Amino acid sequence: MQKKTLIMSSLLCSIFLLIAGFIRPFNKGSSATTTLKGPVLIDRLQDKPFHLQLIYGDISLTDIKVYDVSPSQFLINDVPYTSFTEGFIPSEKNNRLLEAVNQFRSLHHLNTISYYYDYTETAHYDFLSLSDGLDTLYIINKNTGEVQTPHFDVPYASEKQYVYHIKEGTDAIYILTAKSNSYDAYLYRLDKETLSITDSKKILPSSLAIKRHHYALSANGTAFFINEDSLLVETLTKSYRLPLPFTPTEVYFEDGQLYAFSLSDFFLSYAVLNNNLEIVNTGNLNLPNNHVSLVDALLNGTTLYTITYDTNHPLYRNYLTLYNLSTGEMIYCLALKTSDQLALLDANLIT
Amino acid sequence: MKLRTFLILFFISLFSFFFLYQRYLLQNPRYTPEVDAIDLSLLLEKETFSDEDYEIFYTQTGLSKPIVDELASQPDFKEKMFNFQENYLKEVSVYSEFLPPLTTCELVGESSETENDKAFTLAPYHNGYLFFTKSTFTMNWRHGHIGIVTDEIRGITLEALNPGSPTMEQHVSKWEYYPTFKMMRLKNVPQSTLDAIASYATTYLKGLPYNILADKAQETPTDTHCALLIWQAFNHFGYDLDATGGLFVSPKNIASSPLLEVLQIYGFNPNKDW
Repeated sequence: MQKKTLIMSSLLCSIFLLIAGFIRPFNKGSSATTTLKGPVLIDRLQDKPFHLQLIYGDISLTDIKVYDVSPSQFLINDVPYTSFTEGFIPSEKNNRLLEAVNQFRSLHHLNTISYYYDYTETAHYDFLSLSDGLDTLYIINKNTGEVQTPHFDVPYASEKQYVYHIKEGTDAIYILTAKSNSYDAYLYRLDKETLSITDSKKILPSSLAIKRHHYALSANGTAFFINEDSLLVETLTKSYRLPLPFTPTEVYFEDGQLYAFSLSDFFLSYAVLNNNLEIVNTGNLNLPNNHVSLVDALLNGTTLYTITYDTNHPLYRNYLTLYNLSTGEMIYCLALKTSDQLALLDANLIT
Repeated sequence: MKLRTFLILFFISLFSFFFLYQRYLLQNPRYTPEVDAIDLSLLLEKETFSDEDYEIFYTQTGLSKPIVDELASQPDFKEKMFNFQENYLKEVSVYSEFLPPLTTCELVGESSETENDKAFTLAPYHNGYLFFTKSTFTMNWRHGHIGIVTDEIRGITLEALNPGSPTMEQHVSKWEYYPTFKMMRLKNVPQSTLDAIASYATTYLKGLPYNILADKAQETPTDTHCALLIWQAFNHFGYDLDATGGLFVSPKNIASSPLLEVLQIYGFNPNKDW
């Protein structure tokens, strides 16, 4: 009888512990979704629409929530998302691309992958990159689904590097990478017909240029790097410095124009340069609050979208702010609260 | 005693113990330094520091001698030390977050309804350095988490995050949101050895599937978890970082390794390994 009691107790104890392990701790804070949208602090849109996705995630990037935001709505998007090192992608697309890449890898007697460093797309291609060199840059033709990797004989193309930017021109694809454990950068020209690297260049930007938003790339293969009071401009044949009225902390190339920004505690300095790299507009943009840091910045024509994080957070943790860069005016500002202990990590523009 | 009565009393006791212990864990998420802030200005003016000075720096900033020496060679040394002191000694609130299926993670924040706050600043780090946090636990086991720096210039670590995700590169900045942090490195080896270990990790241990039951007996790493990833990287070079031996290894086992030295702590008791 005693033995039976012991066995029964042990069995029930084990079952109990298993069940208890799935029960969330009582001490956990409320998990109910609270309203994220705070007040619209400024609205001078004059019926100009916008459509963004805001992506929230927990620190392990296990719980990802996406919200569709426009002037008239703020709704949760039920599409599941997956993270990669540099961002987020709809899970369905992630699985589809990985399946294509893994089929390719299998044909080349390589093991399957379930992770990549970065994803980007151009008009005709999807790109998945690992940080192990350009032989792990997978180019997926959007029309045919065919997967290829670049052909090259440049030795440094095999080195560990992070693919920061890819731009598709008329007959070439340009790739800008950052070498692992180095300040070096590489610029490559990839022929669209043969997917062969026909030209390349090793570049040494300043030690200020480390992260992806410190680099920019145009569709004609001009690379830009932040530098002291200037930008370093590099093509496959030329190199020079472009003076700016401030030391930039971010640089972007969008729709034929170059944008440089510098965030201080009190304002966002900006410079807009045209196709000839002449400054056409510069000034200081007001911030939604002092001491904000930049989570993400997006450009659509002359409209700048910023997602900022308020380090002092007296009332609101994040702000979505729109600026008209032609006039230097803040035209929209939405305060954002927090929910479910998730951080606002990224934003996508939906055009 | 009848069986039914015994079972009822037994489970009431077990249930109570389980949740009381969990409540204890959640109310003791980190170590708060038990020292008052002192003015470091005069000390920081000195050209060379004594062992006593380094001890003061450690209790006031959480930084050990190698880091202090490295910072001393950089511009704005005093300002940086004051910032480390302020972050190290300030009171912070901590909330917990449930990570499916079984794990709980602690983060710095003013309340359970506020977003992650940046808790502290990372001291200078290099390839092969190890980042620890105690701020994750599963059921009642505070197992913690660990990662290895693989790109000191671009600020990248390699980590096995959680079941369902492969080992992957992460940005170092996320570690600054944890309420407990410890930075360690292998003692008495040149940086070139640490560079080689980091390079091996990123070449051969990236993309491995997560398996909490993976053990050290694998001839070639085929799956892993956060502590095993680190053990596998260092063991390849002949450094067994498991302080207790056995088939399994945890972040605590590695933090207790006599082969490692502490570089920075935040929220960790300076008198304990874990």
